[in-house]
Amino acid sequence: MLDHFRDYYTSLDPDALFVPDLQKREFGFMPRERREMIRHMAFRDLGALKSYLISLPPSHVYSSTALYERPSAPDMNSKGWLGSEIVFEFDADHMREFKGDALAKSGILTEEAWNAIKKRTVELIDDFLIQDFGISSSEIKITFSGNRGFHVRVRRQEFLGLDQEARRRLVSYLNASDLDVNGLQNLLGKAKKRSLEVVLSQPGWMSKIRRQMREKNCSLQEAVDALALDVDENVALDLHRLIRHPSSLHAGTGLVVKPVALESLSSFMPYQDALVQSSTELRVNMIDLLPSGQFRVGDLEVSKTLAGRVIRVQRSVGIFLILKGLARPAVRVP
Amino acid sequence: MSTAEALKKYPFLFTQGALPAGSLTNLGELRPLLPKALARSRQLLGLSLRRGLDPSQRKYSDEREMAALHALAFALVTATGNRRMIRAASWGFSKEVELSLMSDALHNPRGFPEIYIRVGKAAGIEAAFNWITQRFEMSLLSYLVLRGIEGDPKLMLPQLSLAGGKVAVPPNVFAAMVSRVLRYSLTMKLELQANELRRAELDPDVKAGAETLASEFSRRKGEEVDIQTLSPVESLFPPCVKFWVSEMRRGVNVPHQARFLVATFLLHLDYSVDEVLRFFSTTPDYDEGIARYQVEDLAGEKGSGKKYAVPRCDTLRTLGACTCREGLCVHMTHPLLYYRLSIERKLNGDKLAGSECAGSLSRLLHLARPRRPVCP
Repeated sequence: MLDHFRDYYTSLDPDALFVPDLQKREFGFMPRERREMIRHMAFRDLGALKSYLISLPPSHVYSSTALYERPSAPDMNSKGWLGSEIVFEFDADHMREFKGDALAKSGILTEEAWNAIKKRTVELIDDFLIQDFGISSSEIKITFSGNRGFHVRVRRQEFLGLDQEARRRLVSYLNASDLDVNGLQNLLGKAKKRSLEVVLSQPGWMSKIRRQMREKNCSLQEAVDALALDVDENVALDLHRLIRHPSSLHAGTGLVVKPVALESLSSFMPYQDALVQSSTELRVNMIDLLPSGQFRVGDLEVSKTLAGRVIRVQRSVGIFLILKGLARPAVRVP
Repeated sequence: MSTAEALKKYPFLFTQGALPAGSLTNLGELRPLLPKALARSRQLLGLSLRRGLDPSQRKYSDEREMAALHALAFALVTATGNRRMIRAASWGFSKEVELSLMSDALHNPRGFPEIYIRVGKAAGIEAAFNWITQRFEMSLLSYLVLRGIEGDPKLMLPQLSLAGGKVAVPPNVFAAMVSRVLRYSLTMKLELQANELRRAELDPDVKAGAETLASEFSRRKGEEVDIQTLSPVESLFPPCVKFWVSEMRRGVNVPHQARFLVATFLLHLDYSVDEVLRFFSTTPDYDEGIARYQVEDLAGEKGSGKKYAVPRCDTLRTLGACTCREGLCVHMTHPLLYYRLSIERKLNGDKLAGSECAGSLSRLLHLARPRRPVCP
């Protein structure tokens, strides 16, 4: 494990760790074995950050969405908050599509599940951020979270200073939690067809609802349910949030927290594209009770047929399986 | 619209409810205005039958007098130091403005956008009128920074036209938006003034006027929350929890955030799920099956198995569930901290323990409580 992390960071181009205003961000690290965050750190440049990462034991690496005058100050009040980027997180454990999905619960997502998350992410960006909020695609950065979802980071200068209430309004818009469905139902119920048409013709949520109702021939509530996103409010509202730093390694999966271009999001396959490429192999012993369902990681098709078997796989695949609790390191019999 | 005309209908364009020069410690040349100002204060507080400016009061000798009268009327309300009255006056005034704007749109179809834009600007809303769509347009950012519109569904973003970062609203919605924003900013401003006035030696006539207003208001509007009905333990709850509990007991359909606060707070005090459910049983939409599941989920007995934390004060403020910003509450960061400190105060013989905002909780939350849309 240590080799996996150290080799990755040693060979990493420091530019891959770039985020704007690096010096103004707080960094946090959580070593896998410690469960205790090392916070209030700051780095003057990417080289210093890379050197520190090489010296660390396998750890989760976080940087703040906020910019501070003094990011390394130990007390939040003395950091001098300058503003925060807005981050929308799509995570399988927050999405209603995966409620009750045994495989998703165990932290593994199938290709279909990934496609659903990516579809939601594209909807967020195209239908809401760009179309409704008027944010340009160059102001949006997508990052695979390294585990079960994507972070969509919006960096628009004038949005940096927004307070929690303003951010809550944005999230409520995306999740339709401020949508007055009852008000619309009343219009429907009173057969005020013309009023309803006028209301539903306006750009934003109303026209989305109308399009959905027409295309899918569904009820108002069904249209809203289908369109509403499940953006994690806690993440988007937190002005001091630490989120996984781009191009770091997720210490719970060994996968790369990989930046993804919008145009290549649909073809991005996390269990392939976020694996650390290495020629080293690893022997692992698959557990007996593998969850039902099947998924692919690297070149390996994981299904119940592998239960209890010892297999040789690429090191990053083996580490992923071990960290997910699906395999144990195989012990050679002398 | 000339300055004089604007001042007549929208005096806040010039004064924003500020105290008249010379302050209330010595009325000086403003003394003759006091009777008119008292009458105006009574209108704002809903103590006189007619809302809006009485035509007789439009016979001002000059613009300065109009502005001074407006400011003095609000100053009398703030001099009472009663937050409930301050909010009532702000509410009354913002309703007047909304009605005036609606009337302008009706009677001056060519000129009303200019008036709306000017009034909106004074309230802090930067907007332009699109003659083709007949809507007022503002940037998304301008909309996001507006305060005071929470809780009114028709002003929430999903109900509005939004494309390319531009929010567009019809005139009646814009008028409502201006009204809510004004109400909020005026309330904040007057509460601040009230705090400053507490330390000031008021002019005897102002003091007498304020006392008259306060006693009439109390007589006419009553007190909606009687903390005597609360058990000794409940009386030490933070004001927000007390307020929402009393609202639920009155059968009010309180917002989700308030229910979450009450439930998590009680669960952290080791109330059982059944005991918590008893608090919710008087809400109009109570369904025991659903409520039990939700409370058990909050208690960590269902769902994720995680016991939910009581929201912090800053979260409650953001969500509009905070109801008190005076006394101990000024320094509070968490409802449980308030409770612990109140117990300590009580044990130390402090009779005022847990009395923050008590007796004036009824109208504190125009902003937090969803209201019925206003009919023009």
